[in-house]
Amino acid sequence: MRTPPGVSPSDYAKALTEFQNVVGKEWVFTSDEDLDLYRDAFSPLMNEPEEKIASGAIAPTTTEQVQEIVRIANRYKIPLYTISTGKNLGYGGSAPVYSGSVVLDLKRMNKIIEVNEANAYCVVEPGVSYFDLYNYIQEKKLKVWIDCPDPGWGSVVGNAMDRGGGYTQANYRNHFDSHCGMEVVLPNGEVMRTGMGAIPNAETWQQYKSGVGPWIDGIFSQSNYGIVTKMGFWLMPEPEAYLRGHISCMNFEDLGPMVETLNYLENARITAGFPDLGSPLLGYGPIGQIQLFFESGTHMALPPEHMKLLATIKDGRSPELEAYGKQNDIPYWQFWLSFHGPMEVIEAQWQAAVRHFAKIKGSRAKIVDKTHLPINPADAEKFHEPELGIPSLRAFSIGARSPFNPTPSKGHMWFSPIIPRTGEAIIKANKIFSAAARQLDMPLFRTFTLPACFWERSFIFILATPVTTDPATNKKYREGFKKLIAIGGEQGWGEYRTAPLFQESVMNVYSFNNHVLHRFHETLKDAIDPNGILSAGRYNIWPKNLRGKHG
Amino acid sequence: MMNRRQFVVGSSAVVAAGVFAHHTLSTQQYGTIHAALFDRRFAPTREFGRIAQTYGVDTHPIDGDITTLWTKHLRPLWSRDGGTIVGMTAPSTLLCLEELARDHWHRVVAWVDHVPASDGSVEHHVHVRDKSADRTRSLIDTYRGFSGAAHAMLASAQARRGALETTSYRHQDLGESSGTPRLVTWTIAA
Repeated sequence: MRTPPGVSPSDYAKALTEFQNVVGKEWVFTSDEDLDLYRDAFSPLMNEPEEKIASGAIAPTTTEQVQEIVRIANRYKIPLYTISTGKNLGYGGSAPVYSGSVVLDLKRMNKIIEVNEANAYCVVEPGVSYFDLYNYIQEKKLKVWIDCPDPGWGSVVGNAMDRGGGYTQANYRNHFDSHCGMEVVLPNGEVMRTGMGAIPNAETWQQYKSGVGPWIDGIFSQSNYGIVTKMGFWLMPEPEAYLRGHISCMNFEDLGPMVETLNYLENARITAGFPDLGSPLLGYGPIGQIQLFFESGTHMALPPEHMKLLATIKDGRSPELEAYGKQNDIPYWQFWLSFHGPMEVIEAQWQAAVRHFAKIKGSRAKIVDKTHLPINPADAEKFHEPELGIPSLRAFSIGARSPFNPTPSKGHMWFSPIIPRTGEAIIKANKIFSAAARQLDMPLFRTFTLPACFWERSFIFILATPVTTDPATNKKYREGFKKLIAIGGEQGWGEYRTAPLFQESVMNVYSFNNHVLHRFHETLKDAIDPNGILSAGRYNIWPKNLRGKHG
Repeated sequence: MMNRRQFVVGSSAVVAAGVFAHHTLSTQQYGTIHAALFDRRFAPTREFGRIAQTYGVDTHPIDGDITTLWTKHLRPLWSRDGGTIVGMTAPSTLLCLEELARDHWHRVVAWVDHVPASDGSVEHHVHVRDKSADRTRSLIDTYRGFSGAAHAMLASAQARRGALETTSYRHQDLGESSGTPRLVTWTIAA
């Protein structure tokens, strides 16, 4: 039997017995076979001695059980690592940051406590997946939408706590920002409710976010200060109609003005759906279309002459390619815009968007989808389902070898820096990361890459660095990954989220005033969790007893 | 008392779907196999589906995407009683299923990697539990190629524990299977 580091076998045995008394013997896992289920399937350290593994796992069903587990862990100094459903592959999965921790698995806490249609919110436990919530809403015929990531297999709470994003309207896509109220088990075992939930018998817990006094919800995301056991979210009222179209421009130089126009339209809420950037001329599809491209494999089969010209681009630019595009009516840039709402409203919003883009000489607009909602479920697969609030596993159907994916990998680690929302920044980031990736022999930014628009006001690149079966290659990619993080940091860019292996490197980029932010995190940790039992090392927040000793 | 495979009953959506699953997946079982999945995009996987039917197992075709199958069949099955499923799919489909199976403390217990070689043949790398290793070898010797893997998985799905044993073989005469991508045949069980 594995034993957590720093815990004697006899103390661990006593703690396990007490855990079993709380949740039942069947829900405390210690065999290698069961603990293998908590390994990170995409671990860049897979099968290496340094791979992060759990010493045990406990699966409670109630907040009261979580409280009791935390109290026991305090008594025996057992390091716990909390997961909701552990589906954040590419960002760590179920594996603990501090190897040997006992995973506190909340997937059995799967109650949908409330879905309020009249004011469009819900309250859920951490084990509720996007599929659970979607199916519940469909079954009860409630006229509200969820906003889900792609794939939508993960936990609503877990994704928000990891600050994930989705694909519907701007004010719902940021999953942490769209939450309203939490219930948190603190490291001492007490239960706290945030926002209006701090009022006994609160009537507006999910209707007003901040309550009064310091608004502390943020400190529980990407951290280890508490265990969220309930969380409220604002939902999107089911829109009446959906419109999706694209704006195309023919010149490389149009990128900057297009981004500026998009920013104005989004910040003014003239368009609020997921903006999706593509370049037909560079062979770079928008996210919402990539699935269809991969599934069919034919849409992106470019003619040989076009392929040859792609080799001439430098930092995305090629006069020869641009001329070829004009000759063959292939746009350099294509921005997809989507709209949800009453048909007469979204048609007017689209017209306004077209009018603003028309300031860019030669821009063209085309409506691709226009439909009343709800759509027939059988028609959903014609769309990128998450943009209609429908969770899907379809992303995995593109993993088979295809002309565009000849060597499917064993997983990936997401490289996801935030950059400014300008055309200039897109080009600069490509130039810097492309040069670095070539020097480091990393398979990123090898062609001109466009960012995504999950968040308002900024761009984000989300690029998969493959995990392979070869330890030497994985080592090279791990080291290269850390260097890319640092190179981004030198430009003033940082990741929005990262896998455990890279959390120290990423936090090191956030170093203003001698790392005062990180030191503040540690000060909080020492005050809130003096025994250091909760998720040690998460986002490089180590308890005092492990600081500098965790290897 | 609920066991590890029956916990997901908090959501009424799951409860309702579970009743549906009881009538669709439990009626035709071969041994402990509750369902067989095959990807109808590829010739070897279609053949797997045909062979599974000869074992009397409920077969479920997919086109790479398992969203509907997961929602309507597999999740209710695993939530209610748990159950062994077998399949031949793309590796990405198996990755998805393997992660979903973790939610129910199910796991991949045996698999065969079908790796296309540069000479046009396919290497089959078989990973089965020691209790079924002899039978697996016998079936592979009898049927060869993708069919050997199909029979091996279908006939040995009950062997869930024990050390993994690995054996490999190469198949040249691929017929209509020539040019297929990397595939995997697998068993998922509690």
